[in-house]
Amino acid sequence: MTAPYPIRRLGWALAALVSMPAAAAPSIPLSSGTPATFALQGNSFTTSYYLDVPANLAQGTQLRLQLSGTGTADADVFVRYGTPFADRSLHGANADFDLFRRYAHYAAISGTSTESLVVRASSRQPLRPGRWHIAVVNLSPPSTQLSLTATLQSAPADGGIQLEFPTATSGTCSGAPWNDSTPATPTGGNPGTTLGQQRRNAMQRAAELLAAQIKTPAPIRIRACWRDLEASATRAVLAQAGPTNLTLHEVDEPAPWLPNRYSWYAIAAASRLAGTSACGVVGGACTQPDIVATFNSRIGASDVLGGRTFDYGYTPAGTGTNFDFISITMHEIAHGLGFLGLVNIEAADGPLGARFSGEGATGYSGTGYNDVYGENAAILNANAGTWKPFLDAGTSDAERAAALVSGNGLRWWGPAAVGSPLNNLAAQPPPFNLPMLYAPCSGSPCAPQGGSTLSHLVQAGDLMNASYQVPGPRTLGLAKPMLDAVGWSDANAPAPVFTQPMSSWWFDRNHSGHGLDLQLARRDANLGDVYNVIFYTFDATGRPEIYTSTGNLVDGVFVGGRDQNGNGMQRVRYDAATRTSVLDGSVGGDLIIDFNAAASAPACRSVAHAAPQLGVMSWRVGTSRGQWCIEPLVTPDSHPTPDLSGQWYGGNDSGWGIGTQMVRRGGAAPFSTNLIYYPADASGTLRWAAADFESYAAGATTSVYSVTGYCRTCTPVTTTFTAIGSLSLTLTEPTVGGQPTGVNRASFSLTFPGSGYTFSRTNAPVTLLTLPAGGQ
Amino acid sequence: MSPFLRAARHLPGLITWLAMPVAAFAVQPEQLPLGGAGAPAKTIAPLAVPPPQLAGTIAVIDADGQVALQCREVPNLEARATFLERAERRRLQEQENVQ
Repeated sequence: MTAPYPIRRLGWALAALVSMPAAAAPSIPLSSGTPATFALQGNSFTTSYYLDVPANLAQGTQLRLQLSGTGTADADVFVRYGTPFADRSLHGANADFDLFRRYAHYAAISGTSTESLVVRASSRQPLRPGRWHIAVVNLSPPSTQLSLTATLQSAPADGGIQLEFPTATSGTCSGAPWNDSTPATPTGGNPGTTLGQQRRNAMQRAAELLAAQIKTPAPIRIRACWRDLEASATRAVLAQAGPTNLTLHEVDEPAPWLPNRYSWYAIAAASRLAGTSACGVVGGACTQPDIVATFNSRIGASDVLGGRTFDYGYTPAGTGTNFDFISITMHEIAHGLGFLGLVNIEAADGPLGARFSGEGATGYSGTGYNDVYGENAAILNANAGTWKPFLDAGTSDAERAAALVSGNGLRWWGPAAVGSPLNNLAAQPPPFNLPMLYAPCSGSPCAPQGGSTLSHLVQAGDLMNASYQVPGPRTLGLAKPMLDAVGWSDANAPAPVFTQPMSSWWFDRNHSGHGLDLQLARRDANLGDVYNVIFYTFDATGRPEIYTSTGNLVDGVFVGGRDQNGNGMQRVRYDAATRTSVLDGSVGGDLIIDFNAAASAPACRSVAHAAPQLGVMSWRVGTSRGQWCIEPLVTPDSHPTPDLSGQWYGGNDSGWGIGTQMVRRGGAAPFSTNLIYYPADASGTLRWAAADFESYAAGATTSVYSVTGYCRTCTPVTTTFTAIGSLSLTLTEPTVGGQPTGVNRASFSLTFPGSGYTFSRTNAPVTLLTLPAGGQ
Repeated sequence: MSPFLRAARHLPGLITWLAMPVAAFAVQPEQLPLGGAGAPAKTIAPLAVPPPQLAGTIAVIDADGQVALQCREVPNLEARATFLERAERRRLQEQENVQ
């Protein structure tokens, strides 16, 4: 472990050049199945443990991690494959909870000290030979005795489905019918001799039948309730179910175990993918089930549906007027597992086809996220013989609304289901072989039929068919490969590939004038490459200001390193006495940029997908926050040779710098655009200004302009430019770091409007702070 | 009684020592205080939001007395308070953004 690194002594963003080990070498190997017991101080962590998974793993092997503690402590466990956790930030601050979440491939973070995690070959970061690093965090004040066990299980037990039959009424959930002592005659193989027994037996049988068709390391918890639901002589809800919660991965709330980013998953599927329980995924107490299934306690009453009731027999009745409890239960539970589309299907709740945001009166306000079920749906154009994804960025709410009442135009394109022998349309030529989802038209003009769209099949005999069938199915049928696509697959997963962002200036089309100067500063195969980021932006009055952030790229996510004040993005001031910059403690921020699958993020939905890369930038300045979609301004392949792009600084003459982007032009000198970061007043307020060389040659001089714009959360206005001085650059070699040798020099004289203060240098030696050519 | 146990009888500390679990001798992990100003907090965790709709099976008896069972999605009305809370949090953040 190293001593904290004093940011006060840094030049601007100089931290990136300082090779500072930020991870203690993991020192304690775990032996499979052997517990390690240790005391962990309150509010402390350890990254000492690891497990080496050997080569030649047997198919089906899983890694199970178990942590158990004493008392009421809250201890969490994090797992990362390959490279270690950082235990300090680049600024020397000890790792905090957030940093473990950023590095973790898996996490179990319930509010207790009993955690369990399973990694399998089908997990997003699949189990494979190599080193699996483990971090344990004690979030409670007192010291806690903990036991940590990592076990490679070649024949893992399945978690199955756990049913919770309430014994009392809680809220709208009544458990009394499960204990109804009314005598009953055993029926269809159900040996129960009371109504309550038969009900529980049938529910248990439905759960067992489903559990035999899906595998999950952590038990799926289902709360089974009775309640008075809608009921009349001619119409009644028999049962209803759904996931208790949905979850997703997005830049501010990472869940890297989910294959699709920015997409809702049912909590049971998300827990399975995370290899832990629902509370392990989202924190808190472990009291909530994954699914609630509610049955109508009015069914069987003489004034409801002519007295028809449930048939609790194990064997599906071929005929009869009663309702097959087991197939209805299996069907409803399958919805709870994630067989559920989430776009709006009720005109009264908002625009038809709108994505679910989880906000507002009905959950459809603002910009919603995709859902993983809907991402597998397709819109078929039968006339053209083409199809498009239902939730593609280029598919509008109106197109989805039309598909919902198209009859045969709503399809499923998930390859496993399309290619399944259970697909009744498999013999059709593509795209007419895409399984059909239920999209009836009711009324004129067409409207979705009372909610029955999207989440059901049109395939006779299938459990998830939109209409009840006799005899009631006992298998998932085509729903199995469909469920596989929403988180229930056992297929081996490929190792994930993460995006390496290009060194460039990055901008958001919706915030013209603001941007990031993002440059690779140092390769780090251990903790992630180090990037220097300068956020050039405007303050509340539209004046230019800058923030800096130095951080690691962790699995394609830039994580601004936090300082001792807890800030991952800093503002610094120029100190003329020491000719360096010092931390401005009056305001702090954070910067996280996720470069993976950003096109799926709501923030990027409106961005032209011609961009070579995209990133979702989550920033905080003080208490102000935002999420922007950013893309590179200049791609590395358009740079000239030699490439003199990057962040230049003056060595010991620190506290100011120049960001340069050069663009190759055929048969002519390159275009060079520059940002100058400089103190604009006697108190050292750092601002930025812009200067372009239409045709750059060493020693060329050009005008420098200060830019006036609009604050980060203000309505955009046209930026204006004011000439504030001149810049002369003599850049000849992409030298890096250390003290500049003098082969590269800069001269400038800048007077910020109204400041009466001029900052200047004459032939100041400069060198690159960042890797030339973007480290390519 | 073996000489060893006789000796041990007079040395209860030795028995205790021998009976200690192997793990007690294991290398203790290096540990550091959590960073972050003030008490550590689980400031980021995956979202957990209830779904906007559930799925239900509805029985309908038509004019001819035939029973049709239809599988339908039904609004999850109990979740709406959560959606409103989330909208309010966003509103407060936007208010914070303009101050």
